[in-house]
Amino acid sequence: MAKVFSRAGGFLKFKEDSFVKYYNLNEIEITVRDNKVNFPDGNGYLFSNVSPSFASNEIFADQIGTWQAEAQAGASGGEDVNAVHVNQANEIAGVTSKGTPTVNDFLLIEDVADGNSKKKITIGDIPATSDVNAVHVNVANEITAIIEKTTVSNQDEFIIEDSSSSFVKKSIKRKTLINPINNNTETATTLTPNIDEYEQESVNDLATALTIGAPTGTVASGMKLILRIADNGTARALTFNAIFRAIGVTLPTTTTANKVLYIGCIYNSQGSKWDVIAIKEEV
Amino acid sequence: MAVFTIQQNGGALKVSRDGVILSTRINLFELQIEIRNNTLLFLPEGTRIDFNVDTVTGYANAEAVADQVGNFIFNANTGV
Repeated sequence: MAKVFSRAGGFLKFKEDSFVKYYNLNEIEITVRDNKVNFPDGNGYLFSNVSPSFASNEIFADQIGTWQAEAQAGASGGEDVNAVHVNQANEIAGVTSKGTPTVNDFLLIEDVADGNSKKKITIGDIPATSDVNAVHVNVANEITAIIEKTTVSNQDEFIIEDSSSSFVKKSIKRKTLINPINNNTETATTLTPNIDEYEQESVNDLATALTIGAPTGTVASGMKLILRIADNGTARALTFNAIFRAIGVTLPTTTTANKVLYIGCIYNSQGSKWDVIAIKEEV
Repeated sequence: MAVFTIQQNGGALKVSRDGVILSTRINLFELQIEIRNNTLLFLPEGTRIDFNVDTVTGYANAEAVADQVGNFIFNANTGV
């Protein structure tokens, strides 16, 4: 039967069969002599005959000294059930968590620049790290680095910031993106197309003579504008601002009762004109 | 058959037998224990608890009692 030594609180515990001896670690004195570790009660044990095993009598005696120090100073990590140890799993998992950390919360670190001494920092002190895969507002050549799709589909998604919803980010399909934006007007005496907002201006049920004024907004050469006019059953006079220039067509001076009229225009920066290139009326 | 209780009192071990506290307070800083044939012996004070006939409230056997006394010593050493 093995002679088993262990520490039991403030005792050095020796067990062999049904015999158990508890030596008080506060007053125990041992000697290494005659190739044995000798105890005050006269018993002596050889390092190779005890458990746990030791490499020599001296190491066996040193271990008893270590247990003595632990018992007297509380140095044993295992005795403090609330301590966190370097070699124990699931200790941090057992700590109460904070659901919503703040920048002022403390963290415990070991400072590599100061001999790994323990120090505290706050969450707000943690250096910011960059997401190498993020796209930034002020960094060039990030989008060009993305894999290019060379054929477009109407189901392709784009990222936008929604101007009608506080510019929150949303996705939009290409089909939606290229849809013309039409502005409906229920009769008017003057139509002033807003080319910053709309690609098509539609006047419905026109009940008076109509003057088409110079469009507002920022123009660009080649920009398209469609005017669609339908009267309310009575032909109505049409007058165009001088910025509209007929190209191979004749600007209409009146609608035809109950006939839809389309007027196609392209902006020409050479001369600053909206060139009217198509007049089509319902037959 | 007797029923014992043990209790740490600072640096001393209080032992009661059948509800009567023994007059001697056992010094935890010099206490040793031997267990033979299920009998626990406090040294050098001499109190003997024979687990073949006696019990200690809260402990299943002599070794469990001795282990707890070891914790009392540890607590006394560390000021608990």
